[in-house]
Amino acid sequence: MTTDDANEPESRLESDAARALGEALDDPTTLHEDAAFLQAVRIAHDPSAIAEADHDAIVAKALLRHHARSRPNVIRVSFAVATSLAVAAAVFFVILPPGSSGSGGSSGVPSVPPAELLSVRSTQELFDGPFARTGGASSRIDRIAIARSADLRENRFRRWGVR
Amino acid sequence: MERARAGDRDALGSLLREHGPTLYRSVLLPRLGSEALAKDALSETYAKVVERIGAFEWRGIGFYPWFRTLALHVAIDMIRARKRMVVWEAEDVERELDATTKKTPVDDAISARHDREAVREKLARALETLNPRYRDAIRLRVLEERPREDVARHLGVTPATFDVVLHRAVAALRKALTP
Repeated sequence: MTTDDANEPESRLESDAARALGEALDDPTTLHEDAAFLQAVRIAHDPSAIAEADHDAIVAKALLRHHARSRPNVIRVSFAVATSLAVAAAVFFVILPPGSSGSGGSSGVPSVPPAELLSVRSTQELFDGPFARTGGASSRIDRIAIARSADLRENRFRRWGVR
Repeated sequence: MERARAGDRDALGSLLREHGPTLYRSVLLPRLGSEALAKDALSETYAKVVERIGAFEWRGIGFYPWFRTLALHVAIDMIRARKRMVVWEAEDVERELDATTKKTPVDDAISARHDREAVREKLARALETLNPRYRDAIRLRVLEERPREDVARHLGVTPATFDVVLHRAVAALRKALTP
């Protein structure tokens, strides 16, 4: 079709397509390629400013991403601290069991042969599968801390001969 | 700028608030031709800024030219995905990107005005090549948003005939805008 066909009679097909375009222009919810193209032409000619509320939402979303990207360092440090404390506590009770100052059971707990203690092991068994890319760090740390606290308590009881 | 590069969220937010609306109105919206698309593009551009701000190098030309370059890359990808519904070809925007790297850096406001004027001029040049009836059909119905019946009356045709004129005008304009 050239620019000189303005006076050419239209076909039935063209007439139907033209009517569909006219209807789509009056109803922006209709998905129509040519109507979208004309809308783009109008916008290109006279672009409007973005509404402040819309822009604020887009900025907020970007800054949330920025926060999420910087959080992993905080989570790694917290995880490292929690694990170190759990390991240190377990080692403390293995190397320095309660009542081992030489005073012969000054704590009043009867002396028993050393029991087999739980050793520090990987936390992998605490989780079912790979972690999600974002989120859940706090609950994972909680789960590790609870498990290691239970281990610590169990080792203490075993050391004391309590079943 | 330095605080934003160092990870200061407030500083980064200030940069985005200061330059984002200009980028939307002058760079993204005219090229993408849809508010929804332009907002998506703006959001993606901001994501790239967050990702890369640490690597941004101050070369005495300000933040906006770098910001604008990121936005044009995002726009190119979106244009490629929606070819029949946007005014510009991806190649047009790629040429703009090439021109950006060679031009002397300019003030944000001047850059924004150039961007909007460039788009209008391109459109005006394309319209000038059309049959006068097609040009009038697009100017009155689309650019001036006048009702169909009014424009038909102005052109001296029935509304049904005007629909056909506009349909042909669209095809002609698409051809005129193709590089």
